[in-house]
Amino acid sequence: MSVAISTLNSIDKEKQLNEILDQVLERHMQPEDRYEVAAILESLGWNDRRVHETFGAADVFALADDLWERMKRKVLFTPFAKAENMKPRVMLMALLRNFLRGVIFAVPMAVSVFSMLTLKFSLWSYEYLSVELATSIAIGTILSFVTVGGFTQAIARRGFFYIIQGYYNMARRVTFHFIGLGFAVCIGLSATILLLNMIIRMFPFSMLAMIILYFFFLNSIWLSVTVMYILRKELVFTGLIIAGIALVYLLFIVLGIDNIILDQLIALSLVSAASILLVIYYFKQAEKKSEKGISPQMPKMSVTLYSTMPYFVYGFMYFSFLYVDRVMSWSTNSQYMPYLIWFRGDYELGLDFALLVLILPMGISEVVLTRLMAGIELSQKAYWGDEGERMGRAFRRTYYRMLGFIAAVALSSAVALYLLLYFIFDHFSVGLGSTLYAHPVTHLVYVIALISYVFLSVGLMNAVILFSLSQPQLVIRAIWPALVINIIVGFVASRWMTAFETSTKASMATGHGYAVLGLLMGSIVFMAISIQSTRKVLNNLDYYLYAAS
Amino acid sequence: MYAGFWNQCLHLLQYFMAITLLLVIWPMGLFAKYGGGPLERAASRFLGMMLLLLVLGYMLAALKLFEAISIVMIVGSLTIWSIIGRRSSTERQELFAKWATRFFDYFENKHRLIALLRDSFTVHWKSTLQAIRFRLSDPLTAVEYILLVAVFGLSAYIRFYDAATSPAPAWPDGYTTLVRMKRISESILVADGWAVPQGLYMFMSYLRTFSFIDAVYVLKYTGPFVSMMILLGQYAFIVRLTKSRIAGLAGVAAFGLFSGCFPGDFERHAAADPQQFAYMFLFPVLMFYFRYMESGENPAFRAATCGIAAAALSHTQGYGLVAMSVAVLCIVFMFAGARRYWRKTGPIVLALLAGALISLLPFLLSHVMGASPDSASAFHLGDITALSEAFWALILPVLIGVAWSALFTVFPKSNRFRAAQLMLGLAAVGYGAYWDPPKWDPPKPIQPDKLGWDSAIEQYLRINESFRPKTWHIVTQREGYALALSSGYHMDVGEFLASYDPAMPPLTEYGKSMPDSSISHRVFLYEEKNVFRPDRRNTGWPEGKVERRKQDSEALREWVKRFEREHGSVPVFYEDENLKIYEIYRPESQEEIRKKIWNEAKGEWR
Repeated sequence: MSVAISTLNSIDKEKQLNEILDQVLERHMQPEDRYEVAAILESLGWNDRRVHETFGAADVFALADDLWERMKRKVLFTPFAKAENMKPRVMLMALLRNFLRGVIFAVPMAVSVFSMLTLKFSLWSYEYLSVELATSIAIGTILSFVTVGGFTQAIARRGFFYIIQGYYNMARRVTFHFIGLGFAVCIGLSATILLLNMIIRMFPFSMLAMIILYFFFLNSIWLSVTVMYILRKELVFTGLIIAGIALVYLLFIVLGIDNIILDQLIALSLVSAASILLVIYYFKQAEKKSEKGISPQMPKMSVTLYSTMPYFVYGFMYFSFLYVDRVMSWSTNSQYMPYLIWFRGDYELGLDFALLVLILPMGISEVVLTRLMAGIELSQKAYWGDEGERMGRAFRRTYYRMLGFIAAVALSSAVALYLLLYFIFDHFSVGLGSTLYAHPVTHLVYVIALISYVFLSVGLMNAVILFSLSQPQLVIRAIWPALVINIIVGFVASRWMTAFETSTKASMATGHGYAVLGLLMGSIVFMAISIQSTRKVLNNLDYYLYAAS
Repeated sequence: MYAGFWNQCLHLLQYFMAITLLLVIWPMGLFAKYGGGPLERAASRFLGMMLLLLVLGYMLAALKLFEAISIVMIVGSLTIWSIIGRRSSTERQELFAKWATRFFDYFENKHRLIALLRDSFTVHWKSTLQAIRFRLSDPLTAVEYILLVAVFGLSAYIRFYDAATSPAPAWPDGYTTLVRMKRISESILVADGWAVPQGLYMFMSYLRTFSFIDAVYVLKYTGPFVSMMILLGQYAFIVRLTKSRIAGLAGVAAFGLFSGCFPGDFERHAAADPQQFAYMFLFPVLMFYFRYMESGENPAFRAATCGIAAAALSHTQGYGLVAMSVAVLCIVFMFAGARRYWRKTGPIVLALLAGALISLLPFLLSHVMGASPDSASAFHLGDITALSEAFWALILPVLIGVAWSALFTVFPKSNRFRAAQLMLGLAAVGYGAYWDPPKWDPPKPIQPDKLGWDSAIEQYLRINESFRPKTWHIVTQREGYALALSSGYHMDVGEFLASYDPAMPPLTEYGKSMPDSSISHRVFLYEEKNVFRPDRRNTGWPEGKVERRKQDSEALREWVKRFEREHGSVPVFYEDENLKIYEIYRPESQEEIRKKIWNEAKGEWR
């Protein structure tokens, strides 16, 4: 009690008390209660005798009581900090940097598309592949994304967490632990598929071998690209892709090794090995540069897993969401169905081109998020403790503006992409144009996927906001119903349209194309639930900021 | 080789894995534990699962959604709902916490996966060994079990022999059954003729979906499997009725080894037959209704009623037999004490009436829709003589078991008389094993009449395994349609000869200059050197049909000769004394491959 030390009335004592309070707050910014303050005091070397001799207080608890009261008063008097207006040039540069960081992931994709259009092959595709091989590669790719999706999210979350604190050693250890787990799951899954296929012949062995090889190599590539992203070495991956394509060119065209699958597998294995080695090298370099000092102990693995589990689940569900409509489409028995899944190029082509629409909104979303989070950080010092409601209202307004902005950008991007590609294909007489704009399945998928990705980009912006406020469970709450809806609608729509076409003896089978309706409905659901969740968070922003701290 | 040892092992393994998934693993997750012994528990789950599969099958096929993905999604959701729904919220939380703790503990190196698996296996292995040791601790009990294994083993040999050695479908409906099974896989409930209860076809379609084996194997294995299930049901019913394993043994020995001596068609035990499929539910239904009449337990009533509904969804005449048998059971109970049992017969009668309605519904619907019955559909209504024969063939072994039990109840219950019973049982099994005493022949397996040369079916299987599905055509007589449906394409010999010009580039139609793009690039021509003639009970094919097939073969031979004159010799894919198969192949161009991958269509877009 302050009464208990009222005997200490000199200015020096007051000054000393404030110093001790600062020391306590340095140890823990927001102690839970007065008992925690007492514990911190004891850890600072204060005992009953010293307290009594210095301040005349009865014991450590009496001093803790006094400090606790001071602390509560101190919170109320935290000075206001006004948001500093950035200079236009600085702001523009920051926005550009964030935008480029958002779109940089599209560069390898752009390189691959360019390679396909000019050379007719890329690192893992070829225009004249048999459908059998295309099916194997597609299954391997989907499997790799779905399997590794959770691990990439966990690496990005936990690795980044250590890197921004400068703990490169811990970041490396946790990252390689997740990479190891990713490979273990990949090997376990491959062995299970192989064994199962020995008993239940789902695919011929030649196809299965391709599936597993592509699955394995692509897994290592996705894992290493994630690490490059957190180490801010995104362009290196683009360089590796270019090198890989160059190697395929060398083997296939220059040296005339006619088996392109073999050429691609050689290139893929070298690219994946190089990327893993580069990741190790970059970590070593970063560790050398980081400050030498106490190396903190790694938390228990179970704690790390527990804290990253929601991100892992999200990663798995997100990639499943992105690919499940393909599975629904390719498993439809509409025209020709030799195995459980059969690649349909007309469906894939529509989705591939529609995916380009995400580049711009994703870049913008990075900028928008940075702005929002900076605003939130500043607002904690710009509002009174009891003005949580006002603060929430202000941010809701900002959020709605951002929502409208990102939706407008995504929509314009979709319309612009549709018209731009039409112009390019028409102007340069690219044969692909007739497939993309005239083939009933490809055109349907292209248009519906463009619309779906507009909704998805809004949902993804909500997801990054919620992740930034440490609310991954709310993102999962939005993505799992979207995934279920995607599966059900895609499945039912593709089957019923196929049945309808069969009953009407339609001249062309297009039923499998309607699986894209699953993507559309799923994206709408994802967007709607994620908006609802984000509003909920912004309605109680002060609470969620406290919880996230 | 179809009859090859490893080929059969692999296919049987796949078939029984699908059976295990459908009838053992899924029911364990779906249905609550029935409060009886292991046999009753398994039977109750079996009846519940069969009804669920059939109802689900009808719904999915009607909605055009019958396929592995939808089945797994629905059954998976039901299983999760059942596992979670059965528990209180506290129990659910505890269960979740338990698994979460295990998961996180694993990453703290508290357990090792291999050690966990080894421990779990050791515990199960030890408890199983202990149970076996306990059961076999009494020498007489051990002999009982050995006899039981011998009877079931011999019965399985008698029934499965044909399925494991001869791929040709059995007379009279093998091909019809094959087509109907494949139609269900394509979500087609009524393709031609009347809508009939589709239980067998649906069950086979499930097995085909989850075993990933050719429909021919499913067709061949399902008949013997159903027959063995009838035998198992019979055993369980007799044992529950008489409380004597030896009586059960006597009954199943009679049915399993000497069923040829009973009225009815012995060969149906080795052929997939919808009527036999409905009979599979008879004894479990009787067993549970018997228990219900005795104890009034609702779970027993529910299990039996599931069986009634499943039988009604499978075969009308078969259901008639099940209903008749249940009626006899009720009458027996009424004689035993009308005042005590009449209240319990009410719900059973209602269940039987509902079953009758379900069973007749497809026919009523067909009649309303104006469809006319085909021979296979009319067979579902059947005739009363066949029904009577089937009834006695199934019930007589039960009566033998009951009589055996009654005979030995007059003797004191000592080990000496138990041993005497077993000696008699052994003699009976021995007689079954060598049932032609003067010659001491091995047991004679059932070999039904066939609908074609074994080699024709075997070569179809070879084609299907060697080449990607839907990339080939077989040109055969009409039965080839049932084989190729959903795995490749079929063309009638007559149609082929009338369409394709042997003088033009391969597979070019008369009057055209370019090869036909609608026929597969790989075509197999079946030439019957000797036309197959089924002559069972003077119901073989009419002479006109045989003559036409001969003419077709002759014309095909001529066509091949003309083709060879223009294009050189045609590769022979297979030849024996009855059959010759030619292979015509037209390679695909790179442009055709490219168009296939992108499913390109020419269209105006500018």
